[in-house]
Amino acid sequence: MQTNRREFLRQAALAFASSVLAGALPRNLGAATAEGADGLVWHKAPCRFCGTGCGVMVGVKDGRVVAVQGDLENPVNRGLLCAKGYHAGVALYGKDRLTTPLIRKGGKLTPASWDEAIETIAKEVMRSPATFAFYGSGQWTICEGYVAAKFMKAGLGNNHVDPNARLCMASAVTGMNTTFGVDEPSGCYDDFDLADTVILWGNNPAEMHPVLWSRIVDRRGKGQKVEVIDLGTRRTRSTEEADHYIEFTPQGDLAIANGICHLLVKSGKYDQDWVQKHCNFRKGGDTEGEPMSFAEYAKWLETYTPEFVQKVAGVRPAQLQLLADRFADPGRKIVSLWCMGMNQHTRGTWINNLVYNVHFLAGKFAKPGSTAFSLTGQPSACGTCREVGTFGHGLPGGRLVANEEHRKQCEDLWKLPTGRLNAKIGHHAVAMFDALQKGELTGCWVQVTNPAQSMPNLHGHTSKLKERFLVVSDVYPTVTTDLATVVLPSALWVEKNGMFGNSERRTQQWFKLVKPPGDARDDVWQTVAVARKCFELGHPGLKDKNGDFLFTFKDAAGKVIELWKWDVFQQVNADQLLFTEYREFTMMKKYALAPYEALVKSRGMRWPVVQDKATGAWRETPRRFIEGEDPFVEPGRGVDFYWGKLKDHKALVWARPYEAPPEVPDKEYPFWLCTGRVLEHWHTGTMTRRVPQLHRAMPKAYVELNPEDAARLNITTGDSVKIKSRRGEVVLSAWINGRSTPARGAVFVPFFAEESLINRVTLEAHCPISKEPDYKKCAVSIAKV
Amino acid sequence: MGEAADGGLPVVADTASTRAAEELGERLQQVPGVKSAVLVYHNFEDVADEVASPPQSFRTN
Repeated sequence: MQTNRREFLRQAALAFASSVLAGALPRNLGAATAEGADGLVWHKAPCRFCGTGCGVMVGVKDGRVVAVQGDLENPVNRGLLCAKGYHAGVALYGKDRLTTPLIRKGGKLTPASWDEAIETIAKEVMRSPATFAFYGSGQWTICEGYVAAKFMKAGLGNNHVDPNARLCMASAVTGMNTTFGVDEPSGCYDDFDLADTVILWGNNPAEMHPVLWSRIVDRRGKGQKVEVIDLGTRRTRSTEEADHYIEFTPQGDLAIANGICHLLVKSGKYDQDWVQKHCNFRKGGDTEGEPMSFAEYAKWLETYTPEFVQKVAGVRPAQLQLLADRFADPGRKIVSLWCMGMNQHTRGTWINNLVYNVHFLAGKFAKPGSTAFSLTGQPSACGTCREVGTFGHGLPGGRLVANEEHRKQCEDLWKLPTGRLNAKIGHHAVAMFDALQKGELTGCWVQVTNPAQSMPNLHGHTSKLKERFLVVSDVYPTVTTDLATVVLPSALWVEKNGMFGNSERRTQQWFKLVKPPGDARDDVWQTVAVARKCFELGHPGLKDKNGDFLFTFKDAAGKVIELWKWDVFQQVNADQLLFTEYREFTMMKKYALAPYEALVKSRGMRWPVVQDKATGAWRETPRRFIEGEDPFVEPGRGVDFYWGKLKDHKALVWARPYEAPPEVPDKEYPFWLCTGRVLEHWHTGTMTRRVPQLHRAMPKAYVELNPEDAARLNITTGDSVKIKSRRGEVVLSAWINGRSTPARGAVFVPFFAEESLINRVTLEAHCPISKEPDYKKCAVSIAKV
Repeated sequence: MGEAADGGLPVVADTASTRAAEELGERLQQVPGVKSAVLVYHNFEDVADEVASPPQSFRTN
């Protein structure tokens, strides 16, 4: 690099860093696309990794991403990014990117043409369309999920499509649906700036959501008081910033939440007015339940005395009282946050319900600074899986396949003959892999995910995958592509147009900035191309009621745009066409997405988004259900749960009991195993492990033990330790007094490493309502080897 | 190095390798009085070969 250019870049970097510190916007960088002082062209995009949805400015030079900055204009992160975000650009350039289709021939994956790959897949789909499944992802862009759902549900009349979001967010969905009748959080990140107390229910945002965590703890540096209470089963980096750490026995969270409610009701220090106006009470373990009175609920809570909570959760009465006191303080604003600890839970739906109960009884909900907020792990688990309806039971716009009226609405919007949509719910993720294991499903197309690493009890779910017709679309080789019949090379992040929807209902759009490597192509195109081939081969489902191909779009002159042809696809904005079609499904009270053009101009908009009739401007909704913020609240109600299950504008408080976990430590397997993520790697590590800086910082998985357990077993850091369960075993290096400290009798293992698959050990037990597996607790033995 | 603002100090590191930048970042974290050091601008335009993947020691196949 020329010396003068180096100096130029130094000055540009210094100017940008100074702007971040001053909270000001550097010249030119407010625009979505701009020429920077450093000679690069900068474009907006949401980060590729977690569900926070940070804005990233991506610097492009000579057709290559060469620099990354936090987007000061984006209200999510205001210029900050985490270690993963700063390396999102590097993650595009791993040397082993998949660049050509591969077909297994003679047992070996062999390079093939796209024509051969598409035809091979279409012929297999045609051979047995009812036993072919689609397994997708919370990393699908909105339109990727939309075309997959339409291909399967409208095209093949087959609901066996489910995403990996089932493994991380499904309990949050069923929690919200059963509590206030509609998915996705009521509050928003702005509440994190206002709360007096933030309670972490078994999550570790310092590593998993570092930018949101900074947003909370950096308030202290500005002289603001914010108390953090960390409820957990291990001390983490988040605990280091906490004012109180309350350790509980796995599954004890159910009793803690009920115990807080018991103390609030018993003391009379609950918000009677709020409860009376906005809540109904319900008992029972399922999604319907039965009515109960407040008096019956108060009586039911009497089981959850501080002594009972101590017995099952290991929490001292004074700790429970501390939590109750915070909720009883009428002036205090409280935000509860959670992620996988509550969702990956054999009673995930119940614990979600119970945390809403606490906030409802305290009247600390649907108020600025007071909310209960489920954080998301993937960039578009909300925007794609949950809103588009890529679950086995779902249809676009939060509709359900089991609902005749919903099917009819979708058939009308998709111009399908009446009765085309199948009323039978498709397999959820774990059941899908069970069915593949048994041969009841004969094939599966996997996009943007890595189930041979992430499914629980791996041997029981993936050992027969290689015998099935497995198509895998991905950007790098993975343990799942290793099992594939056909591997399709995909475009990654800014190598394609896309949209994600983050945890706070914010839909964000970006444009393709660079070309994908080799012959890699967009997943949207891949699905449309296979659908088209099925149409040409005569599958009747790929026609609408007029006989046209399901993915038919016309240009201004009325000529059909042949999206299935790659040269045509590259010339048009398929995202705009597909999103505009999909948006019609959201034109209802609970969703209402912004039009594509408005998203292009914004740094994302939080739905519901409505148009101001006077000015024509599109207005987002920071907080739902609050009069003055949510356009669908009936005037005069103040707070309006307008999608409430009982259609009376109220939310439900559920009497959900404590229930012991299905597998607990015993003599043979005396330790709890908890699995999870680390700061440097994102999920199964397929992208972040290609980034040298992140790989060096965290090169291999490990097992963390409590120092007392380690001393008793004579295990020190670096020793090889075998972790064994009833399902499998893995050997890892021990790490004592490392990044986190598990409770006595518990160990922690991250799941990012494909060479030491901890999911060989985990349990497949799942929440019977959400069908989300519990990766957070099973019984294992520990032995030095 | 720029001027202090709001308790923060912008620092520009121009290093011969990404590894050297990482090491500098780690050292900055250890300087007495430094609460945290975060990256806000990352340009890697002339180290394209270096930032490409290392040999994939973790790949099993």
